[in-house]
Amino acid sequence: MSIISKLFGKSPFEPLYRHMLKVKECVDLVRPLMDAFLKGEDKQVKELASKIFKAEHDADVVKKDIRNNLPKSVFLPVARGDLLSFLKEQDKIADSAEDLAVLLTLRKTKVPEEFKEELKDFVERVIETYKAAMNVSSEIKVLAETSFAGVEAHKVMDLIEELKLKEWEADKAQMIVAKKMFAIEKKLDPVSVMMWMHIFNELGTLANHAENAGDRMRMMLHDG
Amino acid sequence: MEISLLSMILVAAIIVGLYSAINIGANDVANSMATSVASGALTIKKAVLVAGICDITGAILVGSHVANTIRKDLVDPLQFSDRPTLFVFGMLAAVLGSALWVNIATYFKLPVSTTHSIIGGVVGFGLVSVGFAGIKWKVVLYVVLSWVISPIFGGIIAFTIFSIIKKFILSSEEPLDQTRKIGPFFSGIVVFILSLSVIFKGLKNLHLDLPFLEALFISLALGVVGYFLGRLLLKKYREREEDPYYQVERMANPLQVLSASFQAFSHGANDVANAIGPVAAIWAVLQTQKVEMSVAVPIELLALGGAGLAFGVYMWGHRVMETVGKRITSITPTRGFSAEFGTATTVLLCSRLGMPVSTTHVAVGNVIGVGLARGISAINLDVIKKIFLAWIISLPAAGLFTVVIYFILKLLFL
Repeated sequence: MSIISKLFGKSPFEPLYRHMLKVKECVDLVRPLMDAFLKGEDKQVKELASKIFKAEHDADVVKKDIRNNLPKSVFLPVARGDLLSFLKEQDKIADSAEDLAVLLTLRKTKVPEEFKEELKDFVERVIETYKAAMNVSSEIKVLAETSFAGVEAHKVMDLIEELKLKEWEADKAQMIVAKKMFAIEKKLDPVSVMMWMHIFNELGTLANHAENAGDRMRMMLHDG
Repeated sequence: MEISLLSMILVAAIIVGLYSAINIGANDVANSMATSVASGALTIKKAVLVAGICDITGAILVGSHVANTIRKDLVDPLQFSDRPTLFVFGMLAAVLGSALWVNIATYFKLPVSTTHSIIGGVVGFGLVSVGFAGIKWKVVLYVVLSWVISPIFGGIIAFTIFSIIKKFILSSEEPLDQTRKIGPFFSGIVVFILSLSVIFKGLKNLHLDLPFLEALFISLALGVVGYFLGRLLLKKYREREEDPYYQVERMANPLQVLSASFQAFSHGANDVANAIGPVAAIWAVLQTQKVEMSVAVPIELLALGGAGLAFGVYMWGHRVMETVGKRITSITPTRGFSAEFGTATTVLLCSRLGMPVSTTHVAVGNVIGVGLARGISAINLDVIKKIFLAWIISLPAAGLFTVVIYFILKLLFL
């Protein structure tokens, strides 16, 4: 084998793209999961949860593969640390989806009509935030092609701004639904209140990781 | 000395030189063509064919300058004017010793350079025959320095070219239109530099030695032809429903193939000397019965060496390319073009100046140059350590092999 071909390491960007697809596969199930939960269809919740576990595991495998192929001696067009922390945040989006799925299968919690609509809206915002993050991540291959600079970098920068806006909206929606829940706290049993707080938090965490992934991506972009 | 013995030695030298040329061709073919195969610009079959043709023409047209350097600059042949046999044995030992070392190193997967090995061989022979003082150490130092400087120099060229591509094409609003505008300039420049280096004194071997101004003029004219050819090719390109950056890469395909051929050509020009330099020395002694300071390397020998290179490419190129092509390498035509153009220009310039540089090392320097311009997804810097190790070992090891073979030859025939 010639030395020149040994010089080329395995590109981490193609696997990063694959990782994004796996995360997407996992988080795309959050909406049907929440729908099933809102309708109280326990069997479907369990089925969807197990699908989420599987997809999350697949994403983990890709993540480990990327990490194992990035020793310090590999020279990249972006800082190695930035790339790895981006990967970490992207992976945590799937982790949050998994944690949420676990929560929903733990206990049958009836959804009160009083904040059902607000909850639906909150879920919608979270999904939008995550989708905005996937829009950012899916540019990774093109970014590598343009060496993380120029018009393409500006385009991604705009996508990140959009993502931040979505996350802010998700935050607001979370506050609204939480307030509604506490407004009827007398009607709810304490365990349910605890459960709802956990569920809201997990959804909020998912949106936060999506935003963080965008921030980490921004660190990889260059001027010029 | 008997003529028959000398003829025997000459036949042996030619066989060893040819063997060495085949080795060089087989080992180095991937350097010039691998990226084209990996990026899909060329099929394996076409790559082998193009590399073979370019190698042999480079060897014949530009090959002689370096052959002279290796022979006469390291060890002054005049020191052997009264003992031509010793000189002949020494050169035979040098070519055999270095070929042997390269083979052994390849077995142990050490990335050695044939260029370094042959120089180690010649120096080793010089040390035992005329002693420490008989070697022009300044030239040795100069050669060693050029090994360090040439990858850096090439790297700078590659860095600059890729930065230009990045700034004017990849970072622009309309990458496709920009490619149509700038692409032809690149093809013009490649054609210009290639033809200038061939025409200016390069055609000496064909007795067509042109003065600089004339050569410059012809090359400029050819460069303009290259410009318009590039424009025509880019005009014919039809846009697809695809990300524009991938289409830019597609449009850069012909440029990459051109620069890869350019690199194979300069490989032939530079590295043919490794195989036939010492053979040429023996040839000269046989013809004149004297050891002279400088004799032209006969074109037959250059052709033979070139054929050896091409044969090596043909024999093993397939296998080497297959392994390269199957790997997911992160190089695309624009990157390949930048790296290969830098390599070819550096190697050709060095072989013009009579400096025997290692094509492999220059190519490595160029890939790193593109990487520093953030052009390559992942570069294994571990390779540099290996190169350094092989580099340190090569000179003394090839020298040692040469010395052993030299003493065996002396024992057998004198």
